[in-house]
Amino acid sequence: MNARERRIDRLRTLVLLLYPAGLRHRYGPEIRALLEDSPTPVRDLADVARTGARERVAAALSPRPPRHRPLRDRLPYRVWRWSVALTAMIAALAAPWALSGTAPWAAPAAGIAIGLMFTYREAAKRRPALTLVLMTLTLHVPPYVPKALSDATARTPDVIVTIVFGVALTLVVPLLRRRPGHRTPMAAGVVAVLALPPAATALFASMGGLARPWSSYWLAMSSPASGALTYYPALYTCCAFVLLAAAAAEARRAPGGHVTAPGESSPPPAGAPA
Amino acid sequence: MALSELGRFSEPALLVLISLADGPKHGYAMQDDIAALTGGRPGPGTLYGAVRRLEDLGLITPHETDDSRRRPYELTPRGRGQLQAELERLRSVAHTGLRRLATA
Repeated sequence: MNARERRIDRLRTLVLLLYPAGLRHRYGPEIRALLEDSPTPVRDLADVARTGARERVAAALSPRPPRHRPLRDRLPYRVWRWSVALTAMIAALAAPWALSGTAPWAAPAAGIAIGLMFTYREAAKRRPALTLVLMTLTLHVPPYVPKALSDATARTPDVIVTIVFGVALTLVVPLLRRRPGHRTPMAAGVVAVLALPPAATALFASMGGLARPWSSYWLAMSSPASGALTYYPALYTCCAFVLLAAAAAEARRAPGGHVTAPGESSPPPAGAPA
Repeated sequence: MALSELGRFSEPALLVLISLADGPKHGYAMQDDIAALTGGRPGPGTLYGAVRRLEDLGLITPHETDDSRRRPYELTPRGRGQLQAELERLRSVAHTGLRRLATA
C-alpha cells in the first residue's frame, strides 16, 4: 500500500467514524468493502459521510439507552476486545510472581472465569484469532490453581496443561477452517505457538553452554520437581498472543480476509453473493 | 409500516427489496443490480441506510456467513408481502396516471 492509498484508507476510516459505534460495528466492514471497490470514490465517500452524520445526529437525538444495557454494547468493540485480551494477558503473566508469595488464589480463579467467559462468547461469534488467544489464557492459568492451593512445586500440572493445550489447539483448527482467509496464517500461528517455547528454551540453553540444547525443554518438562520453571505458561501466553495477533493481521491482508472493524483494510469483494 | 414512512430511504428501500426479490445478494451485488435497474448506482451509505431500516422492520434478513464484508441479505416472508403490496400500489398509481394522460 503506497502513501496515497494509505491516505485514502485513512479517509475511509475517518468517514466511517461518523457512524455511531453500534452501526459502525454492524455495517462498517460491508460499507468499507464497497468504498474500497467504488468506481466513484469521491461521490461514495461523500455519501457515506452524509449518511453517517445523519445517523450520528439521529442517535444523539434518540432517547438514551436504558441503564442496564450491557457495558460491551456501550464501548467501541475494538477497545473492549483488546482491553479484555490485554487484561487477561497481564493477569496470566503476573500470576507466577504473585503466586510465589502468599498465593492469592483469587487471581487465577478470576483469570479462568474471564478466559472461559470470553472464549465462549467469542467462539459463538466465530472469531478464531481471539478465541485462540483467550483459550490459550484459559488453559495456562489453571496450573497455578493447584500450586496456589497446595504450595506444590512439581511440574506435573504444567505437563498436563501442555498436553491439553496441544489437544485444544487441534480441536480449534476446524473452527479456523470456516474462515478461508484465516486458514493458512492461523495454522502457521498454531504451529509456531507450539514450536516457539521449545525453540526459546533451546536458545537459552545453548547460551548457557548446555550440551544438548534442543532436548532441554523436554527434559525440563519431564522433570518431577522444578519450581524454577513456572515461567513456561507465561512464555506460552506471550508467544500465543504475539503470534496470533500477527497471524490475524496477515489474514486480513489475505484474499477474502475478515475485517472486524473500520480502519483495517482488506481487498474488495467480488460481485456475486456467497 | 409502509415504505413511504422511511423518509429519504423509502426509494432506496424499495429498490433493495426489488433487488432481493430474485434471491439473496450482498451489498456489492445489490449496487450492481440497482444500477442496472435504474441507471444510478446507490452510494454505500444510502444503500446500507436502507438495508438497516429494512432489517429493523423485519423485511429483510442477513444470511449467516463467516465473511462480515460480504454478508448476503434475503427477503423475509413479510418483506415479500410488503414488496408485493407496494408494487401493486405503484402499478395502480402508474395505471391511473397513464390513463389520465391518454384521455387529456
